[in-house]
Amino acid sequence: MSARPNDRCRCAVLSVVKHAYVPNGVASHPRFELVVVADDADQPDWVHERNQLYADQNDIPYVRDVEKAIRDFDVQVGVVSSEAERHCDLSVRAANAGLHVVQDKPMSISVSECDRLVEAVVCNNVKFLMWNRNFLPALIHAHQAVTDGTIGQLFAIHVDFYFAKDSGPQKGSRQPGDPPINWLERQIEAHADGSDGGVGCEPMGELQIEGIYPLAYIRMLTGVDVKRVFARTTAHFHQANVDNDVDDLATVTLEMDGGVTGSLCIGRIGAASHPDIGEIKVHMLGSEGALVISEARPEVSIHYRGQPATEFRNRRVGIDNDYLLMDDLANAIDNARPTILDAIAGRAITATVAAAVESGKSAEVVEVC
Amino acid sequence: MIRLAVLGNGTEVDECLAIAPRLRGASFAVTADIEELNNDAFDAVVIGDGVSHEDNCRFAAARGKHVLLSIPLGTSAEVSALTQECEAHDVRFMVGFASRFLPSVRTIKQSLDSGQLGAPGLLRIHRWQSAAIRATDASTDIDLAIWIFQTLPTQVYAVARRGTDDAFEYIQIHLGFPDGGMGLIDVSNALPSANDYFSLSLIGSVGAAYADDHHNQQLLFRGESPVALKTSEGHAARLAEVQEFVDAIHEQREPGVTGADARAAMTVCEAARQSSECGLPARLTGDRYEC
Repeated sequence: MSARPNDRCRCAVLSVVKHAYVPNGVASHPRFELVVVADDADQPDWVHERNQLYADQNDIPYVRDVEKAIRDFDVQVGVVSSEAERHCDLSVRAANAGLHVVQDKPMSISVSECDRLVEAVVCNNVKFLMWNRNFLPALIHAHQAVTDGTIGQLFAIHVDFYFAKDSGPQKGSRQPGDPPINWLERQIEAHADGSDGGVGCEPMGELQIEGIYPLAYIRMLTGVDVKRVFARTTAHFHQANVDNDVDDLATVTLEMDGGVTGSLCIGRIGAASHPDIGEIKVHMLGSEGALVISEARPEVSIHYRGQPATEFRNRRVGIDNDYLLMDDLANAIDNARPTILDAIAGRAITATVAAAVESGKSAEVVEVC
Repeated sequence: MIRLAVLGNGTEVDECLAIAPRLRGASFAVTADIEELNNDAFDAVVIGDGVSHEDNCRFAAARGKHVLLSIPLGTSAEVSALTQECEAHDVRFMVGFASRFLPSVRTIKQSLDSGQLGAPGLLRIHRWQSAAIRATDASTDIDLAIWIFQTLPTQVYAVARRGTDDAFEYIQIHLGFPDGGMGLIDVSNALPSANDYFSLSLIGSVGAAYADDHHNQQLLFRGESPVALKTSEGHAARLAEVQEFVDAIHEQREPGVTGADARAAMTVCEAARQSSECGLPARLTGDRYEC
């Protein structure tokens, strides 16, 4: 099932229960073709309904048997976009079947699951790509500036990664006698507005859901591992996070190899908190200067009479992240090199997030293992 | 009319002269000689950089002169002693945390106080400069954090980088406040000559505010890449700070930034230094921090 250089790759979508940006992103590259949606037969009805809908929208079959779909459809790539707790297992099964894997975030909320995936990817000599935003124009620009030595030796990096989105009832809205919000039910409901990034039975905070993006920036720009973290976490905005004891706001101090220091501010801070998707910035300090990057650039501003309050006034333009990610995977397949965010890197980020979550609860400095 | 003396040789002197015509209820004169406070020519003194804070503050207070003391400060113990000294002589004592008076910061604080932003959750400050960092330089930003959260942090974790002369080149301070509040402050001297950068963002429970030099840059084209020029807030912060001092004297009330405020900021600053040296978070126990 291995792809030969420059061969068109047939892709199986292995569960697609969230917003479908990952399989849609895969299909943005002409080298990759979606040919089947597959999932396990024992999944609940809502999962099958979403899989079937995506299959219908793309005019491809839906097969309720993952291994059979892989066998019958001559696929070379598995695209995993399931509930978070199933990510690694589906990816391991795909890798064991000889498929290259593209996986939605988070890699997992369990480091041991990531270890299992790393082993499967290595043993089967396949490529793995964690979906990420490292090819957004501003990040490409930042990476180029750092690698060119424009600011000298990088010694500190800070990322703000706020999503100005709501997520169900506000904190404090639960009335006496009301039951706590069920995480999975809330996430299923959130599918309508695309804020279901934490879909699954296991509650997850913003660090776990979105942390991969800013930490992938930091990893790409520094090229080093995080060794120690100190974190503060809280549920500051949303009742679902309060009821399920997971964060929606967090800060993390990062101590990295080579004496590099960093920090991360992350949160789902409410739609009223920013006119667009949120303030997302990278601040870097080097021996010869500094760099301040806004992830949103380039963008254009659109304002008009009657504009809905929820419509972004500033719209990002020139984005080619999807294509570039898949081009990176194609190059990795053809040239036997790692992807921009491979299984080992994804595992390292998951371990950093796990350490931060632990630090947030214990108020201690935690080593990243 | 309050007659103010300005003592020092730092930028405060130039700024005070620049704002003098706009000050209400006070006049300014620059003096290089503390002995001039012995006569009745002045009612109050602004002690700037470049002169001994402690000696001059004690000298002025003993002669019944109100004191506006510019940072940098020495230690929390020194601030406590000076506060007591001023109280003993019944003079007003204000500490010059000028960042509180920046138009951008005041606008955000007013928004917070009005309830527009809800409960503060996260404060992030970047302060980058080309000038050397003094051990107490982070105190101005720590003061902002305490002012915004209206309480001392219960946890302080800091990471620092020192140069070959053991001076700070960079310090990053992570603050934990009660009820989940948090702050991250980084101060660096890594910018090239004559550059500085300040950014403050505050995430509240129902809103957020962003004061960022990045948003306030103009472009200058002179070939090759354009140069970003910061649109300055001028001397508005210094004017507001000194005016507050003058008004507090007139109104016989405590000024907006007291010795107790300064002592709190310095105590946290010292906890940050302790944390950076031991590699552990410092925790508030009673009125002290312990790693």
